[in-house]
Order: sequence, then C-alpha cells, then structure tokens
Amino acid sequence: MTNLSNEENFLKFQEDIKFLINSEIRLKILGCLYNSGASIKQIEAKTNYSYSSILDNINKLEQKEFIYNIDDKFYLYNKTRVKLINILYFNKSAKFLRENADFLNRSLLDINIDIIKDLSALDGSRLIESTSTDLFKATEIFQRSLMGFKFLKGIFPYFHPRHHDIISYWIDNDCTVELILPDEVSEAVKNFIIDYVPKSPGIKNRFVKLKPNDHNIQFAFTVSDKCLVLAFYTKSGQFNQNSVLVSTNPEAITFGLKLFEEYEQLCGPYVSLEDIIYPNGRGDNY
Amino acid sequence: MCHWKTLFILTEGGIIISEEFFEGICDLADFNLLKFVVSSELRLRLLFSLYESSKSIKELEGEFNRKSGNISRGLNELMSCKLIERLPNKLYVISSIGFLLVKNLENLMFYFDNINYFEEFSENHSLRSIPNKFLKELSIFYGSTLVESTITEFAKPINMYLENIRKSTYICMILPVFSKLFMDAIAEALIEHDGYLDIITTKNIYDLIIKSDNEKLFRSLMRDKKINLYIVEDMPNIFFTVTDVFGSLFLFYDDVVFDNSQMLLLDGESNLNDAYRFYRFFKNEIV
Repeated sequence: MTNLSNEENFLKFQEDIKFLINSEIRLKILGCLYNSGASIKQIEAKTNYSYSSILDNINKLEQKEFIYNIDDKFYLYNKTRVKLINILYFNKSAKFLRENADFLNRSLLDINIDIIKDLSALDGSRLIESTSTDLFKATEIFQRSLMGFKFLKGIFPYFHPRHHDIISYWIDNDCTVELILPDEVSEAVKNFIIDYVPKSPGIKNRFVKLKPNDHNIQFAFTVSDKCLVLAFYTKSGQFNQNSVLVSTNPEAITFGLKLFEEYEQLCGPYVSLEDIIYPNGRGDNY
Repeated sequence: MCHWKTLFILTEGGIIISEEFFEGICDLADFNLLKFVVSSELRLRLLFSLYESSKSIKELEGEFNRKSGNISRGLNELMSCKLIERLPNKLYVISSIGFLLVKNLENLMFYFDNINYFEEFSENHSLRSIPNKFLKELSIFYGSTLVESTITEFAKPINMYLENIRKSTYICMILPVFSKLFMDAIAEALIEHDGYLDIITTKNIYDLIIKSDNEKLFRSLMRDKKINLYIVEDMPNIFFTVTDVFGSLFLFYDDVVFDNSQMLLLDGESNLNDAYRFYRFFKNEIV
C-alpha cells in the first residue's frame, strides 16, 4: 500500500514539496545557504534578487522552519538539507525517466525489486539503438561490455553470437565472471570452455561462476568495473536486441552491483567452473 | 495531442538553480515533472490509484467522487506526460515510466515522512563534512533506534556499542576517531569469534592504533588477513559500524568534536544488509 493511505503525511509532503520548489527565488536562497550560512546582503550579491524579495522569502522559509538565523546570518536546518538532497536526487530519477520515456514505455518492466525506488544513478545514461545503417550497434555494445574488464556480473538470456571472442577473453585474462543464465546458455558456456581450455595459450582467469535464472528474470544487464549496460524485453515478450542503455558513471556501476546483488539472492546456488578451467589444479597460475 | 504545459515539461527542461549551489549534484534539471505531479492533488491520487490497478473512468469517478470532466482532464494531463496509457478496452493503466516514477515518489515520500526520526539526531550534529551521495544513503538509519546518554547511565551509547561489537564476527567500520576502548573490544571480538575486520580510516588514526598496546596483535591479524585496512587521506566525520549483529552511527557536534552521547542503532537482517551495502558503496567511492 502506498503512503497516500496516510492522509496527514501525504498533505504535509505535498505542502513541503510545493513550498520548496514552486518559487525560483526560494530555491536560489536555499541553494545559497546549502554550503554555508549567509546574510541577506550576501544572498543579494549572489542572486541579483532585490533585498525586499529576498527578505520576504527568507521570512517565509523561517516561519515554516526550513531555515534559522543567528546574528543576521541564515542557515539551513539539517532536515532541510536532507529534504533538498532527496528532492534533487528524485529529479535525477525523473530526468532519466523523461529522457527515455518512449523506450521505457515500449519495454517490459515487470521488475519489482527494491533498487528501482531510486533511479538517480541512471541519470546521464545513453540510449543506444541499432539503425538501418548500423544494424548490430546495440548487440556490439552488449558484446563490448562482456570483454575488457576486471570483474563482470550480469544476467543475459542468450548465447552471444560472438561467444568465441567473449569466453576466450574470460579464460585468458585475469578477471572474475559471475553470471545468471538460463540452463541452456550455461551448458553452452561450459561446453565451449571444455573445448577451448586445451587450446588456450595461457589461462589467467580467477573464476567463472554461473547461477541458473530460475526466477525467470525477463531483463538483461551487465555490470563491470567499466560500465553498466541494460537491455529489456519488449511488451510482446521478445528480447529487444536493438536498444541498450549504457552508463559509465561510477554511480551507475554501483547501482548495477546492487541490482545484481538483489537478483543473486533470488536465484539458486552458484556453480563454479574452476574444475573445467583448471582441470589439473591452478598450479603456478594460482 | 499534447497539452502545452505538459509539452514544456517533457521537452524544455531549464535549469533554475545553477549546479554550483549544490556541491556534488551536477546537471541539475528542472523540477517541472515533480511540480506537475505534486501540484495537483487529483493528478497525484489518480497516478497512485492506477499504480494499484488499471481502472475505467467510471471506477475512477466513483473512487474520487469528482465530476467526470475533472477526472478526464487529470487523466489527459497524465497521458500527455506518458505516465499513463489508455488501453483499447478503455481501461486506464500506468505506463512503465509512470510505474517507475511512482516507485521513486513513494521513496521520496518515505524520506519526508521519516525525516522526523532522524531530525533530533541530525540537528544536533554537523553534516557539513558528509558529501551528498553519502548523506542520502544514510537514510538506512531512518528505521533505527536513538540511544542516548542518560543521567543515570552516562556512557549508555558507548556501552551498548561495546556490548554489540564483542558479539560480532564480521565487522566493517568507517573510523574517523581513535579510542583504545573500541580497539580492545574489536580485538577481543576478532580473537574470540575468529572474526574479520574491514576498516577505512586515516593515517593519523592508523598510527594511533599501531602505537597502542595492541600493535603486535593488529599486525599479526593483518598478516593473517583477518584485518583489511584501507587508509584514506581525508574522510567525512562519520563513525559508522556494521557487523553481523548490529549497525551504528555516531556523528560529530561540529567539524572536530566527536559526540559519544548519541548513537543510532540498527538491527534486523534487512537493515544490516542495507548497512553492509552502504559500507561497500562508501568504500568503492572513497578508497
């Protein structure tokens, strides 16, 4: 049940938000006070608003207990600082949603995990779509996200057509791989590794661990030390190979790690491929 | 067809506060979408109602006891913003971005509702040294208990802290202060439970730990990889601990004076998972 069930909280929320963001001058005053206290004269110099308008709004902010004054300088209450931070981060989420509205509205978002309640980390993501002159643009981005990393975690529903390059990269490099895959894809990865290991020039892999997608997660992503790549199913239930959302922001990578953690807990235990990658033990490579 | 006001919301943007005012938050976009949703009680209630389930206009009229013209106008405005859709069977349904927006709005409302739990504690302390990205995450303490010194139990927060730390096995700490009392209790826990300590601190605090009576013990625990230590040049003034038993937060009165008279205390598996997640986030960002 939503918070709207609590009438008093809802009305207070609405009143606070409206008061804080409905006036440009109030927002600018709050912005001026965010890092340090300031007098009306100092706010006037920073904002170019008239002394009387600043005074009027300062009085309102003080009456509603968003700010206080000591010796003619005004300061934010810490609760105001925390409220503002949350509004500002909410706006980052809203900006992400607004900028990707058409793509997201075409996508199946049957995702009910905790992390989606704050999408601010995805602000600044780029939507990359295949075009008539670059048919495999999105698939190639997804492929690139599967190589060139120190760690890789993710969920994806298919065996990538360029799996030779991808899986040989995992085996021959000093990296870790943790994936949630459908059983058929897991089998295909294992079989490829069994065939590839005797031909590998030098195995450096730390580990590859696979988990079954036994929760029927209809959504794909990879997260590594380099980037986060998200892909979705369409509302008709087809995996959309033609569009991916990509971000290299550290906040987005942290978001991806949290996302993986949530799904990791939903699915069955890991199967390590240690014995397949190192059939004779790790030896000097350990 | 797009209403002119909603078209503006979707396309114009417009930065009304320059980012310099809010350190750490760049590309500050406009507040128009939030304003749009929150400024009309009916729109907000319609959005939340459709988030619960898809409905016909008749059902919505009954639910809100409003004229059909008002309901239709609210629905059209929400549709113009792509937050809801109308199905061929004339039911109104929340869109994917509408669903995500409500999830994020609920979260914002949760923070606003629960700020009061945090209010007394936060107003007594300085939050200035804490970057926005960490301050926001400290909302994990909204469900916590405030433990305070009392006239009959002056060291209550510290005693409770030490009692909990002694029961702990997997300890993660952000440590901007040194106390021999804390370090002895941690050493005791590590030995007693064959535990692990992951600690982020400054060079000054590290030197004090090493110079204390526990030098040999700490060095041997580090050798045995029972202690992972991360030294940072500078860190926010938060003394944060999470273990398999509890989570806690102490803050400073101002930029230099540590307050040991108030502690926020967390328990419960889900809260502790959130606290471990905060620690990992902090470590990734600062180390």
